[in-house]
Amino acid sequence: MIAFVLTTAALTAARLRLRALAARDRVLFRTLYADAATMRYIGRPLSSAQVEVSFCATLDATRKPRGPRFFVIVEQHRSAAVGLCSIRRISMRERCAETGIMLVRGACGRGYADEALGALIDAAFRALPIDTVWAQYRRANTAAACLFGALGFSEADGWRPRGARLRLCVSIVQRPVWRMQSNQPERGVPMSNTIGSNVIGFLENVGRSAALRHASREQLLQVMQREEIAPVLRSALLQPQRMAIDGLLGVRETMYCTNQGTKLPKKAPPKKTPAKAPPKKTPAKKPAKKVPAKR
Amino acid sequence: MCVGIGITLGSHLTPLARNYIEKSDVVFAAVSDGIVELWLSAMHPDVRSLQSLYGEGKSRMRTYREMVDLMLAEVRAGKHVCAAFYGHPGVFAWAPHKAIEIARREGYRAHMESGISAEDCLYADLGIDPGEFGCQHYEASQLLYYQRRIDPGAYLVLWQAGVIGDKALARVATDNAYRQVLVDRLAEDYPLAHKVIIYRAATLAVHAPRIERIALGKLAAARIEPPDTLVIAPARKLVPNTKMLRRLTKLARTHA
Ligand SMILES: C[S@@+](CC[C@H](N)C(=O)[O-])C[C@H]1O[C@@H](n2cnc3c(N)ncnc32)[C@H](O)[C@@H]1O
Repeated sequence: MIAFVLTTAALTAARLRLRALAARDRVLFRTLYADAATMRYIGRPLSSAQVEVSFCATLDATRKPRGPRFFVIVEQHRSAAVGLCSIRRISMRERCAETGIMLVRGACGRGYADEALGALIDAAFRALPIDTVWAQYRRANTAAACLFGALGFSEADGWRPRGARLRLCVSIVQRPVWRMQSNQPERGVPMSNTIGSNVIGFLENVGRSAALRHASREQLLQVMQREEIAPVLRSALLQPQRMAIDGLLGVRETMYCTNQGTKLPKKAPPKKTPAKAPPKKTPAKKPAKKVPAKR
Repeated sequence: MCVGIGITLGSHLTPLARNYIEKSDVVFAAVSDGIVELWLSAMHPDVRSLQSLYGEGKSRMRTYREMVDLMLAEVRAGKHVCAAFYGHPGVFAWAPHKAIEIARREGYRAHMESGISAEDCLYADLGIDPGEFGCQHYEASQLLYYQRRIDPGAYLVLWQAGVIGDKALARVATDNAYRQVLVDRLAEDYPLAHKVIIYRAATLAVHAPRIERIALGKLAAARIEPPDTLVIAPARKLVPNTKMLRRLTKLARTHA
């Protein structure tokens, strides 16, 4: 069975970072689910006992290979947890998954939902075998309608994925639409993509140019200057260690795919026994040899 | 379609591999470098990284199976799928071979397109011609798990030495103690003073390759990371095979 893995390493937006929900997030969970204002369009606020049960059940579910994936939204500058977002009801048959988000009251109105969901949906389309991401919300929840509209979602025309509640409005975004708009730098895309493109273009040029492939440091610096690569990136690019440039581009520092694993022998090899005299050959009951055809 | 994208960004991708990437419906990427992955992502609107399937503590064999499952799910959905692997897709790589095997068994057309491997880079960067003395390639752990015969008269290339001896296939790297086992195994065939090259081809064209020569006896303490390959030059002169030579001389005479 395929386990659905969304690595949190890739889940950073300009101001936010997403990390997987963990046992230490009980307080955040309570802040969200027990608060009447936050729960206004979701359901009744939960009592303390209900919060406890729901928190444990959610954590348990996230540990299953195909369970929902909940992420805590963390403000980068002060490392404060400001909300939760999720990808769930991942269906390989329907090739879709549901997304959702909740922010603590003080974090609303700052564009965080847009940023966090941008990064999450991006990662979901990269990592999961799905073509559609959908969201459901009450029609009266105009903030949700605006949010998903701004993210490129549109109302699903009669399509009801499994798990969609009857009275709720379902909006969807499909992979090609998402891809097309996520090339626009202003929305939810990790910073790396905006500054990254001219660095990648430069690296590709150096890689394929006979004049540059083995150029000196000075020559490379000149080309970078001409291509208007920021000074901080120029020096990072020329350092033999990768940490600086990987950090600036927001890519995984040590990303490495080993593709092969040698299998262990099934049984331990037989121990060498002192050489014995070969067993006496008894004439085997061999099938009679074919008589060669007479020429 | 499984294609190799080579090792160095911009230098090694063949026009054919690029065309397969651009023309497919879905592209899966298993590459060695985050920047290379960014570069690949720009070639097609639907590039899906297989990197997220790896996890510390998770068996790599499980990861490889999941890679194959993901790729085949799209093939079965009727899409043209291209899987882009770094280096050569068929060199020390389980998933591409397996995916092609299963796809063909299920009646789909599947093909592997070769790419420039770390092996090709090392011949160029280290100035080695495998034809000169012969060249043996082993997956480093296999050398420990099985009884293999090393010929110290030929070159020896050891792959995946950075994760040597990880029987559970779940670690990102293994440490000195594991490498000491390798040193002990190699010491059966080479003197401890014999030099081993730690080699890493450059993935970015602005960098130089890593070429570090170190005595075999000091290898356990050296920094060997997953992308590094070990190369050992011959330690013994070639010994003439007088019996065969005599036979050949005789043959030459009779055919004269
Ligand atoms: C799973 S194999 C994949 C090889 C790849 N398919 C190829 O064709 O080069 C991984 C091993 O390849 C070697 N390798 C990968 N990248 C390398 C590089 N940049 N320089 C040298 N060796 C490399 C290392 O031995 C590493 O452990």
